[in-house]
Amino acid sequence: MLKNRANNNHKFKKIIVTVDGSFHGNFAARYSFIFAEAWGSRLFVITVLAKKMGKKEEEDASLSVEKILEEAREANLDAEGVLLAGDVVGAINKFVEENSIDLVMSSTRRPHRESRLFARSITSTLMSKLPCSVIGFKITHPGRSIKPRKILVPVIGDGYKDMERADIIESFTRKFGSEITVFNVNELSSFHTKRLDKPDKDRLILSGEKKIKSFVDELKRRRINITEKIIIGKSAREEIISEASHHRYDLIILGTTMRNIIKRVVSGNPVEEILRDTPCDVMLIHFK
Amino acid sequence: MSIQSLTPEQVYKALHTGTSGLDDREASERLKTFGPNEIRESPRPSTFHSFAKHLTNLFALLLWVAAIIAFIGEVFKPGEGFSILGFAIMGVIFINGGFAFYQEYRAEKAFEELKKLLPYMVTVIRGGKEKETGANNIVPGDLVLLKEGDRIPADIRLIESSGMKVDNSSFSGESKPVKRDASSLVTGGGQIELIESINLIFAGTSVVMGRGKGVVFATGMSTEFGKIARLTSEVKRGISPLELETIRVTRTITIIAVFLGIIFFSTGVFIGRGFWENFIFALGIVVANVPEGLLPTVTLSLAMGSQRMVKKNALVRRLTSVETLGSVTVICTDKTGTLTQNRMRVVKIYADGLLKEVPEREGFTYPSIEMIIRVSALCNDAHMRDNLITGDPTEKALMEFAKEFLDIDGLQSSEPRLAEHPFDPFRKWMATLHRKANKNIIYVKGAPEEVLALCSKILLERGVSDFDSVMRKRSEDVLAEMTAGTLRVLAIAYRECESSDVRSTEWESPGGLIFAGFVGMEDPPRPEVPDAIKKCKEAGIKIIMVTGDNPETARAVGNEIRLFSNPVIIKGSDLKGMIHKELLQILQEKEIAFARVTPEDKMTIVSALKDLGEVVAVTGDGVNDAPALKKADIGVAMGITGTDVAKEASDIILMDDNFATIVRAIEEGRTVFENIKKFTTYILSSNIPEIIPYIAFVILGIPLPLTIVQILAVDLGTDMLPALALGAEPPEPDILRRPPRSIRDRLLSFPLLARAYLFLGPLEALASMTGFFYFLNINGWKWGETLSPFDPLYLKATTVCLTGIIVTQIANVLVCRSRFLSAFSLPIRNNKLIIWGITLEIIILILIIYTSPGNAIVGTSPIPITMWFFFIPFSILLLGMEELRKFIVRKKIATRLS
Repeated sequence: MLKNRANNNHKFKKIIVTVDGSFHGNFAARYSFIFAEAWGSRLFVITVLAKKMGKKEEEDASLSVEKILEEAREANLDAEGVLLAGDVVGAINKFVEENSIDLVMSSTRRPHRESRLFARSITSTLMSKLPCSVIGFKITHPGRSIKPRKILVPVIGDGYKDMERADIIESFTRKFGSEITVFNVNELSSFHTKRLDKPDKDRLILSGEKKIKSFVDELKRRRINITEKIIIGKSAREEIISEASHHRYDLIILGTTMRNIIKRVVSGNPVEEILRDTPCDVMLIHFK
Repeated sequence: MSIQSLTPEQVYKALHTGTSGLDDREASERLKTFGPNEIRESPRPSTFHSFAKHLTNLFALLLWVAAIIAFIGEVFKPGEGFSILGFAIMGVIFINGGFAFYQEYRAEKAFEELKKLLPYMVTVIRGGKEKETGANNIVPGDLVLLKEGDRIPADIRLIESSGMKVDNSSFSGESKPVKRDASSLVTGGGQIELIESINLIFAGTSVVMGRGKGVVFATGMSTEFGKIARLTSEVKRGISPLELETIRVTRTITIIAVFLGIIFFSTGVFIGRGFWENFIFALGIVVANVPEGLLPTVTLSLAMGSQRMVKKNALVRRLTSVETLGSVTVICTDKTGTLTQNRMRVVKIYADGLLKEVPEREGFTYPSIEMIIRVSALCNDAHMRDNLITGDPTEKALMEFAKEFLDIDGLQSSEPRLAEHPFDPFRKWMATLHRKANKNIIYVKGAPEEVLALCSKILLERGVSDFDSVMRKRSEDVLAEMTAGTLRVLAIAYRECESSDVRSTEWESPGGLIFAGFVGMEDPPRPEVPDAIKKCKEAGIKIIMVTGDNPETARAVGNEIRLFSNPVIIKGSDLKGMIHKELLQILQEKEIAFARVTPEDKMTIVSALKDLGEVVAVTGDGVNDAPALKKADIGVAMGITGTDVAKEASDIILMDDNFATIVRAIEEGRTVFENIKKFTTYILSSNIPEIIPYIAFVILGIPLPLTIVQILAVDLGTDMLPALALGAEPPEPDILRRPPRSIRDRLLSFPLLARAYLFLGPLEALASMTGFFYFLNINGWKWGETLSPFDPLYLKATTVCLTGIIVTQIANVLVCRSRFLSAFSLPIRNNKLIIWGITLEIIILILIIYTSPGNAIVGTSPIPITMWFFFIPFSILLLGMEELRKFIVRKKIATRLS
């Protein structure tokens, strides 16, 4: 089952992808192939047989591992299937620590308007509990998931893990020739936005460009063609969703930091809202 | 690989489904993951919430505090009229809140119109069985069956199809049904937009012919239709320039009022006056400073403006749009039907190496010309019934052209249509297969570059010849000549076909065609458009043509209507690859047009223009124009050709689809803002004679000359109708020769405030205070004597003061008709409402003074009629002083200009 390939020097040498037999889990697994191939990483396809699972669900999960492994083999990847048992987060955490895993990839379901499910989802818990980096996926548009051609990368411009983000983006551009738009929103109230004249707007756009410069430079250093887009708008969440809807992006790559409970209560969580309302797939990246 | 380039087997695999569809358990799981297949509107505030917002803004909060203090006053000092004051102030809050709500409110129905395009039930295959289910239960991977008449519930990759045609007009704006075919794989991968793929069908469209089976690959808000819905519901209409100014004005006035209230209250305490005297004084200062009638007057003035616009064929759907129109700096306009008449007709044909005008009949018996006429009649989807032709404008034009020479019914009977390749925007041609005597014949018409590429021979007078390089070059030269004008050109070709089998290669991929010639059609510009464009240029408004036509036609039409001479023309395909910064750069070009653009591109253009700080009006008619219409400062929908969705998403509907109507509406919008300035001056002027009595009350220790209720009687009673009449002043002659109002231009500018507060107001205060003292004196009042609030002399004296304000306001309304022009140069017949306003103002005053209810509510008492005449000299003084000021200003302007 295991196909070892040459060791690599990339930061993410060992990647876990979690599957549970579900449709979105399998789609997320295919995304993991892109990274494993680009970085020459070893891929662990894991399912956790939780106590509450029925026999049929267990079978589906195991079959899913087999199916994903088969696809990985066809893609000539170094992949291994692992069945774990017990509490999902605990079991994965233990495996990560014992095997020095660098990156975990997991899919998340669609958060409902009524409840902020992502905040309580397994992917969210993995992001907060695991000692390694975590990538979460939300599959929204299976028709476009097959080949993400247009990718939107909203950035705050805090220089947060520019290298790692660039690694992710490079994987897509190399494999699919994806078009990348680096997107920054300068948030202002609509009252103030309306009062801005051209020089004011130019100044704000210039400051936005400065904020994302280190990230843009890193992408350019890798010869990745990008489009920079600085927007002045009332809310980053609204502008990201509007941009994704209007320009028909296939994928949004979004960095996430764990907001504390007070921030969540006071200002909500823009990631939740984007996950809930976006018309295309979203990849949440949480680096450690 | 993209979904459109996968084989059916690959599609099943990619979407984890199969020929039996999903089973119910998996469908249920996916429903949890992807959610119901429905379009959801983003939450909006309820009507109650919207109304409540206007009762809790800064201005309203100030008045609430004043009302509460008044009620507290009633508790501690009963019988002093504090409760009446409290209720009066609350009345002001509700009146202002109501008017502000009315101004802003518009029922949002665009989303409801969008929902109507989706089906309720759909036929799916689940677990190998066909079943009916609610459209909202559809999930990605579901296998859906569709037949003629069905609305499509989700985005679907066709797996099987038979003669399927769909109406894609909600996406492409293309009114003709387009063919969809499961067996065609779209190569070119991601380079081809999903919407153009022949094997994909989309939610919100409908099957007009044939049937098919397909796999759902996107549902709900993730569908292409969902994206339109999201943009339509989520694009927030920004605050209009007028709303922005109203917020600014009320904030400024509120702060001034509170500041003055506190200063004068503190001064009163400092000089040792009693608390309640100070309290009344402070409250009076606050109420006198606040122009309570301004917002209702602005709202009513906008409503009157919208009524005038209806008479000019522009239906206003949101009141503040009336003024926003006046601030417009850029108009993005469609070409067909807006700048042109949308009455396509054939004007030239090219055949036998010659370009001919259509009315010319010589040579129309040539075989090539006969063939062009024949193809125009047969390869055509227009319908003729009772001699009336209906259909797409291009098809109609061709049919009308053919009708001049042929019996179309007879021809259609003698050459029945066996099959057709409908026009496809991707392929850009249409073909029909006919049975003619014992032969089969293919007729083709379409984009010249595409059709010429399929031709190997040419039909001439002497017969069919090889379409050699010389003839080809000649044809291409003529084509360039024709498209350089305003003509829309189609190429006509044909060939005989061995087989009548629609599966034959000859028919499936027609090639080796015989070129018959070109047909040149023209859509003449609307006659009033060049003049409207000239006015826009003078008004500093930039016009950007946004058309689905080719660049040559856009250039030619633009030149003909004198929109531009040497424009930068950007094609939709270039726009898509353009980075935002480049687009911003290009939009700053003086002359610019966009050709071959989709409605989707419009939103990109509008967004970029807004990023440049422009106030943008955009025209649209299709479902997918809705997001751009919402995004623009002014969305202009077409009343005749527009869809309900576009109309619901717009601010203004052009009832005649005419560009010139937009310009007339802009003129009205600019006039409205000018008129708002006029009546703001008028309303603010009366604040000074309302404030001065309170200052005199504290400083001079005299009885209070004007009560708070009397202030409200002026602000919300007598001032309102003359102010409204000022709102109906006709446009000034040079209104469209001024540049658009800058976002930095203020309604409350220093000159306006100075004129109202430092010039007109003090003159009115002089009149009312003089009258007050004069009346007290002639009735035996001595300086320092206090009067009870119920003393008849006091009641009459305050009534005199009130009368003084109102009589001088009558003169004020006449001088406020223009900032610079003499009141005597403005004929009263131009605005008869002024007469009505003054008349009603006098009637209200009479009711207040000479009726018991008026006396009881406002706290007045009848005064001798002679006191009315006492104020006439003051009115004449105000008129004269203002005439002198205007004269000096005019002189200064003339000197500056010379």
